[in-house]
Amino acid sequence: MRNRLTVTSLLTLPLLVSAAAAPALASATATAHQVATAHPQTIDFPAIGGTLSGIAAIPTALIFLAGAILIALLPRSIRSTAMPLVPVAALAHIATQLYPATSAIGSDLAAVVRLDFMAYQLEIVHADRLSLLFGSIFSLIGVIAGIYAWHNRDTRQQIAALLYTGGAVGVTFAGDLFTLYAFWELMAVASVILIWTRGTRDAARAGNRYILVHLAGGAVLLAGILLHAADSGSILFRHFDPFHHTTAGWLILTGFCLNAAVPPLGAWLPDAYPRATITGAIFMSSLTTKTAVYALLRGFAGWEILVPLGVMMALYGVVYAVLANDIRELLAYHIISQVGYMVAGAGMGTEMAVNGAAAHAVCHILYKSLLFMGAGVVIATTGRRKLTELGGFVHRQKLAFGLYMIGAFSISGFPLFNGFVSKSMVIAAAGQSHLDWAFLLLTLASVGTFLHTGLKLPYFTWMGEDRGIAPEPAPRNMIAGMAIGAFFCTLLGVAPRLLYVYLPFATSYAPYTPTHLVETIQILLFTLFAFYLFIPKLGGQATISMDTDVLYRKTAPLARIIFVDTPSWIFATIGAASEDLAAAVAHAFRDPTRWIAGDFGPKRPFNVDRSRQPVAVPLALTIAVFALLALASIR
Amino acid sequence: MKLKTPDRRGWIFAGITGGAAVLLPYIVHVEHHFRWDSIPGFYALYGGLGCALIVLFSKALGASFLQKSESWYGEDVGDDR
Repeated sequence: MRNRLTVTSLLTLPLLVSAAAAPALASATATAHQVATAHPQTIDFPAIGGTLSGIAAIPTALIFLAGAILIALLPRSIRSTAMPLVPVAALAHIATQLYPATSAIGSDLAAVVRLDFMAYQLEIVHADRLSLLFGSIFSLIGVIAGIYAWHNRDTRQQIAALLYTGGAVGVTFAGDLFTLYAFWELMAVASVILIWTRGTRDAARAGNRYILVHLAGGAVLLAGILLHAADSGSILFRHFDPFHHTTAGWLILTGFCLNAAVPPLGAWLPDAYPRATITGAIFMSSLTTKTAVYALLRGFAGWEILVPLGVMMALYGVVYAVLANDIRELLAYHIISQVGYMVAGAGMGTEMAVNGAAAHAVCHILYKSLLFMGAGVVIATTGRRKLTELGGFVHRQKLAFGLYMIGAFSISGFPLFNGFVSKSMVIAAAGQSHLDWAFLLLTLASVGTFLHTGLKLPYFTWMGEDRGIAPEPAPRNMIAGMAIGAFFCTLLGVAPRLLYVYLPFATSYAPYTPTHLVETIQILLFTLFAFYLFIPKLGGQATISMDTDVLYRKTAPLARIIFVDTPSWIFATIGAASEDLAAAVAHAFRDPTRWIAGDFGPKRPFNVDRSRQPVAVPLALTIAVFALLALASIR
Repeated sequence: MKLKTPDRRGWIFAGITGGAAVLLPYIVHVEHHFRWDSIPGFYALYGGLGCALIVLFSKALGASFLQKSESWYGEDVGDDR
């Protein structure tokens, strides 16, 4: 009971603080709540304004690739320290080279670097506001996750993480589909190493499933790209017309949706992420799905099918999170839920929706990595990962718990935290587009988010039943990584303009309005009350949840029989029969003279004198025939 | 399903904070954009009932066919706690 009152008081505190701060924040920002006050507009991504030159023309992804090689060459003792410096260098490149260069060309225009490649033109760098925003946050999270992983001396993981982050940055700045595809596959190959290196049989199997699913998705993407190149004669990555659907467009969209974990293509995510290494999961939770969101925003904004898909995702993740027992699986399902907001935003396709989706991607990367870092600290210090095995040690891990709660407040959309300033933008965009059903369902999904990530997980992990757990002290660098993430979650929540000025389109959106604050406080407070009532119902259960991966996990034995065992049996049988036949023929022709003699009785010893003449005569006749034929041909 | 009944302190706490939240729109000016915005305490109801709906619906789905034993896929579990 004491625990429950403590958690209730703790969670109510930010609401009361935000209620008190509401008037000040509301007056400090614009007063207009943009729901239904603006009209949806068709988005128009920037035109090419010029080309980059000098250091700015170097693809930022190359810094990561060079860093990965350098790490391998450095002494082992300084690799961990050097690792976060690589994304620092990438951030510096973006901040000091790409931003000034594109601003000089025109902040509303794109700057590119092009190369000729066979009959096509590659655009290896395409820097505009959208790609600069995503490239920056991917690099920033590389720094934070690198600090969190400082104690991990596994070079394989360090190199894989750098290649993976470089792949994400490469996709972001890719202006053509070939470059995009190359980095897309680099991400898949590098990220699977972060699963395999966990070193367990479970992780090995999950990694195998993960890479097979991603290679299949990559094949679909490549088919779409090749078809698009054949149809249009261009491989440049531009916006696909939402009113003129092509087969190539659908294939590319499918490839992107698989990486965005859109159900039914998204079961790979909650299958793989809970089995990844503790530090690798931080990179995974931040990069793959958000890179796909970037690609959807760039290529498929305004494709209306993404709205119902996104809303479905938001609720799908929430439903599965109720059933999850593994803490990282619960968080993984909430990645699907949160990415649903972004996919829906892409589908709405208005400037406000695209801004909202981009802003939410940035905030999501910050708070979701923080949540995964918190879960990682629990697993690393207790050796346990299931709600049914955890509980009752909050007093021994107050700092990690507190930092996790900042991530929980952020994902739940508490005022003063970053989720409040980004999620509301997408929901408001739904209202602006008169998608009332989407508005209500996305709001409902946010209820589920607070319920699970903000209440259920922290309560049953750190509080709840005392199981006598005595966690080991967490490495300080892990706490430092969490603190940096928590700092950014709070900073963007308190000062959202710091984020808004970098969004793809200029915006005057003001999140801190009395209307929005009152709505949020009511929703969160009554969700808290409902949680209080449902606590006995919400504890973990030692079960797994069947997802769409059942289609390939349960059918794998059958597929093995059809595609592996049966062909192997056929080949083996034919091989054995051939060998038997060859043996029989060899045996029969070993001594043909027996046939001439009509001797089919028991085998007799071979006698060279008796066999020579019958063999020599046919050979002599054969040679004579060939000789006559040769003479005939000369004449 | 047996719900946990809050004690007296819990009810007082919920009454004060929940009542204040529902009364907030009558203290500060809020705008009405949707037809449901005029329903008093709509978002409070939506949060509370929505939460209940999510839990009950998900649990029902889980109990009916989604939840399986940890060894359902026939693989080892617990080898990488």
